[in-house]
Amino acid sequence: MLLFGRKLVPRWAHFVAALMVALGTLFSTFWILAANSWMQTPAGYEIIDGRFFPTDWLAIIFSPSFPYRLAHTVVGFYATTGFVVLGVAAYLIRRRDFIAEGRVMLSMTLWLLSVLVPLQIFLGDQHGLNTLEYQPAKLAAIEAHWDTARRVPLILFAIPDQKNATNHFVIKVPLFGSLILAHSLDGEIKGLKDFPAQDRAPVAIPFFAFRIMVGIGLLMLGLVMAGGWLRFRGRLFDSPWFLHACLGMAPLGFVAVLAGWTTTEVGRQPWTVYGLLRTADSVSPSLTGADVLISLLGYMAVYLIIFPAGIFVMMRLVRKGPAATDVSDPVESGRPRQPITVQLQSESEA
Amino acid sequence: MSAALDFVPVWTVILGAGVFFYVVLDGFDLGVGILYGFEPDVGSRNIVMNAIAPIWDGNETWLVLGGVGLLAAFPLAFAIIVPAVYFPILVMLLALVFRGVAFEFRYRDVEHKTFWDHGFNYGSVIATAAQGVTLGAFIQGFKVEGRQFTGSAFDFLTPFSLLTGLALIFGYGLLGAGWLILKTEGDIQARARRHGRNCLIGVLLGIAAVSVWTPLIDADIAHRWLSWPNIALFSPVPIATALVAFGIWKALHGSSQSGTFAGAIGLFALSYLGIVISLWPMIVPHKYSLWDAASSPSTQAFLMVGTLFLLPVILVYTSWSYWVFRGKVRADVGYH
Repeated sequence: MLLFGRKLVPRWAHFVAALMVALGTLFSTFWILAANSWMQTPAGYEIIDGRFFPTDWLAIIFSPSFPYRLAHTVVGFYATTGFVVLGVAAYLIRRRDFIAEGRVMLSMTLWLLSVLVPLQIFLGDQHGLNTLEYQPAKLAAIEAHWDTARRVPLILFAIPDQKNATNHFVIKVPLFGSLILAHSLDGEIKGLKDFPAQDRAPVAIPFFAFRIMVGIGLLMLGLVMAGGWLRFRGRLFDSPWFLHACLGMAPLGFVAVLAGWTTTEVGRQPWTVYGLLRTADSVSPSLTGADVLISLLGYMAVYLIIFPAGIFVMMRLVRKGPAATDVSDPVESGRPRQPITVQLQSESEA
Repeated sequence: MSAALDFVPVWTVILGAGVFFYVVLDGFDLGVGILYGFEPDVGSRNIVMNAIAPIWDGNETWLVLGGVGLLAAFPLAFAIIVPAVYFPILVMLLALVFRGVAFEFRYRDVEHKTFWDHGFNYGSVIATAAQGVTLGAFIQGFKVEGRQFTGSAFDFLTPFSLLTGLALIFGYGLLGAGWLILKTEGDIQARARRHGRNCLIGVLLGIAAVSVWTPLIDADIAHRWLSWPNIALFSPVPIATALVAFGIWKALHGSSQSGTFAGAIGLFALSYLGIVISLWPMIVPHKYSLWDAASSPSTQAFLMVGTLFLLPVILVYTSWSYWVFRGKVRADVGYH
């Protein structure tokens, strides 16, 4: 209805369809993250004969990490999309043929991101406190803390050494670890040595993934603040460096989301259901390594075609600009015209 | 676990109906994709694709409902069946990905239109074959010990499952032809009638082969159909199948616009009924019944609340979209 029904249904019905698409997507996000969060911080269950049975559905859905994960993920998705729109807006303004549209896009999106980016950093911080409480081994892996201590430093960079349970080439800021992670200079942070070696995540992956995510978050904050300053000075649309930066930042939201998920999913290893079911014990017994390899190659082959093609198609849409892609009359004689359209014909003849 | 509130029958109906909706609805749009390869020029391909473009992805809602419903309501069956048909399911999903993006990419990426045309066509054929193979493997049953599938990921590949894979291509092709007859006119409709005839012959041969083959390889199924009084009770099924097949043949040759599609749905309903008669009440054939495989009553009850709210919503918006996009897909006015 949203894609093809614009001329077939009343305007309000088309608008409702758009809202339903957004609402449906949020619903599915809600339930997917409820399931994921339960596996991270299980609650409301009992185990009979080695199988999980539900005892309290509200506790299962609203497991301890769920509200934080849901908020952090949804705001992350909106911010990611926001930066794409910001980048496209900057591109259109720089190219000078859709300046009016580009300015509206840039201005509105920047207002939105001025709220979302600080909010996201706040939510991430709250999510971190939650992880400290419920998944201390994951937090220790993220921070590459091996020894339990108070007044711990913030490690900016290090090469974690899993085998010897230590770090090399450490760059750190004293006391800031406790301050940021526990919100107290005297806060105790559990170290990985408190957990048996086989219960530790592969430290380097969550450690670096987390730093990539936070680094991008700080870059985003910097860009939003610079945008706010430029708006205040009335130079929002004609600072070439700012437009350039917006363009460069456009894909970084995706990287941050992927890095964030890598942090949380690798950080919870070796558990599928945290503390209860190991990943190694969750594998289907009949599945062999060769089966998995074949299927992985299959996925790679398909995505290696689909993703570049998708990026190519999206780039082309951006390059055409808003006027050219606005098929003002997508429906003819009560029938959907896409994917036919006159445009396609003129293109294939050109 | 008292038997006071037994949700298994309700879940059986929901899943059973969901799978049937999926087979019919995505069946016809996969079938349109199968016949798409026979369209000779860009113009007719555009119209054929437009006959399903606004509705096809809604049809795949039912695949998600079926998969997640099986996981949640009958987790034991899910845990055994999905590893056993790992590769057909994987191939089906990858083929559906290809086919799905082709709608948009074909139109946006005109330089590689032929590539996406093939992606749409082959994707439809492969996804259909994979579903048919899955069905065949399911009917044959799986190696099970305790609560686990213990065979190999290639057990699905048998002459029987290849037959069902091929038969389903003809079956979906027939549904697709029925849909195209309903939605198009002129040359495209005439071609759909011709392909419909071939598909009808193919699917009838498939149904006949499966009907003879299953009682031969499975004594339980033979006993279910051929013992007295079952043989009398169930004999209307093959008789009705023959009558419906004759009706479709007439509709294909006459001027009926909707007869083929309605008949094809009838043919699928009867085949589905035949499979249910053969396997009832097992959800993992020969091994676990629907009641064995069910999740706890608390889980089934909880899911029921959400499902009873969502199902009417899905049915309403699906019907609404079919209503909005009703009627013939005409040649594009601006198309010269």
